[in-house]
Amino acid sequence: MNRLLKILGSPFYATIVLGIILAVVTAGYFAKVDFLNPFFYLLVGILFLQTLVCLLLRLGKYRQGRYSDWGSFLFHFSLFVLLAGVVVSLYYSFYGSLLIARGQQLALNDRESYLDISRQPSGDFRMPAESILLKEFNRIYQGDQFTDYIATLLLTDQGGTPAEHQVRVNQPLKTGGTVILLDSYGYAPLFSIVDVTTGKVVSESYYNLKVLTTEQTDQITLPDGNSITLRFFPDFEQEGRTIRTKSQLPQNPVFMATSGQDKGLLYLNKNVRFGKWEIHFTEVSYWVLFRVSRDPGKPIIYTSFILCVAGLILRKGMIR
Amino acid sequence: MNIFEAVFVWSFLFLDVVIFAVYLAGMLFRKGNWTFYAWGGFLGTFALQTAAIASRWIASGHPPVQGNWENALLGAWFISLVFVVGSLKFEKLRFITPFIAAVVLLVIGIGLIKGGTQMEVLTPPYRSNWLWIHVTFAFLALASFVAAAALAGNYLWKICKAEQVPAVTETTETAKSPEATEVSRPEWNPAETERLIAAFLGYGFISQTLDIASGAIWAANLWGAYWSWDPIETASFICWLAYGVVLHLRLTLGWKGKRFAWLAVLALLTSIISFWGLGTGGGIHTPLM
Repeated sequence: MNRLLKILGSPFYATIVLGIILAVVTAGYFAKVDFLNPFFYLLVGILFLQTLVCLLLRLGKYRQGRYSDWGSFLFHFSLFVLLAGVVVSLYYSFYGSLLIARGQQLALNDRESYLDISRQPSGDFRMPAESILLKEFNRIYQGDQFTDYIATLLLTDQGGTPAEHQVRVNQPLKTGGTVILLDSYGYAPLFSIVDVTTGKVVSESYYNLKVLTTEQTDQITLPDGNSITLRFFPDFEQEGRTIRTKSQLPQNPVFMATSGQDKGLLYLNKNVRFGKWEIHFTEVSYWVLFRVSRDPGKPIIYTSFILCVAGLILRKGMIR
Repeated sequence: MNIFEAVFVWSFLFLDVVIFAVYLAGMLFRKGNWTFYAWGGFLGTFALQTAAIASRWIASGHPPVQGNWENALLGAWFISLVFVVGSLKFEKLRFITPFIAAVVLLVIGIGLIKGGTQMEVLTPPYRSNWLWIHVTFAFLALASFVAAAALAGNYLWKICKAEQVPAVTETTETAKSPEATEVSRPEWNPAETERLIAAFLGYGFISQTLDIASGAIWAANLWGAYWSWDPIETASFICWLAYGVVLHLRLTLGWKGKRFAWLAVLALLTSIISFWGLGTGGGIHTPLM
């Protein structure tokens, strides 16, 4: 037992384990291999155990009035606070994504509303509002470059009272311990699909497309199962056989639609025909992806950052 | 790059080349006072670097923190700043002037090759107060690690020369040679140099801790997660671990001398990788970036 304590309390062995962890992370990084495996966690576990034993063994040896000793203690202690924060975060946090089109309303407490949920508490989760509605989405630009994105949200609480909030990049909405941040956006054109043989509109809806740049393509599916590939030119310009976009502003929005060998340009308020289907393009709207999180571990982690830096500063630059 | 910035940039690059050449000549021809001119010249390049940053800042309307070129410009400036402030406090640091001049040339050269010198509006993800804290401490860390590695390189070179001297002190002539007197000059104190290396490593480690912590808080506001094992985050974690190992070896296991100096030189690789050797592919950067 004494021998085990001696090994665990030895700074020499702790440094070796720290070196092995460094080697594992570095190898994983360069080889592009996922190093977050049980072996890595075992090493981290051993290192924490060693640090704990080292701290306890050295606790009685700290000299009075020597702030550097306590600085070292505080720095290593902060790592345990960090660990506690990560554990709380893993077991009690909620992380999900909501994809909302302009004008759409979703229930915040319904798991079905979320595009994906990467982490959730084992029990039930309650959000500070019942529903979320994307009222407006605006892009602010200077010249040809976007300088800000503003999403206006309407959150309705349990009592049915709506409250308007604005969410910008870097300025998430923080309400009742929940954070809603703007992650990304895209174009949502309104297409009507008409069966030319009957003249009936078989579908009319907004399509959430990932076509922010002219290099990106996305697809929509026709009622017969065939798909059409779309490429978007927000400010369309044609010179001979060359087509391009003059800017990123939707001043002359045009889709290039491709289905097998057939190709066509779909102008705003015009249509293009593929076999028995005619596609009408009537409006360009937006969809926005929001990240919703509730993480009780975050304040603990931020506290560990403060303790860590305070410990290092107390250690006076670690010069002995 | 506007005309003023271009004039300042090319002027300090030219001056850096001259400093390097003058110092090299001073070393080879044993003209000790030439090193003094090199140091004086470096102060001039620092002033020109500052002017280049100021002119870009005024023209673009935002601090130079966006894109490869601005990172290179600001990174080189921070390296020079830490060196100039350090040299004013510890005169002996001026020995590494040519090394710092070479690093500045290299950093600016990489920035010019990678491009992006045109002015651009600050994009939304960069409009955060956490950015200034994050970038400042990141560059302070890099500058401190570069200074530590430069001192360690200088230390190793001098120790190697000092070790060679006894082997050729058989004759009175060689013992009195200027080379021998230079390396055993009383003003060069290996213990003091080691202390300075450790001080720069400590300063860099604290700065990098603040850099990672502020980056995590920024990431939480921008991406919704404080840590995502993104390539950039992983590389900075590797760098932090590497310097953690170096400091533990020094402080708890008492590594000294050449071993410690080699560690300070080799650990710089992790810092260089975390700044310039990554950022491509994968990651969680959103289309808004």
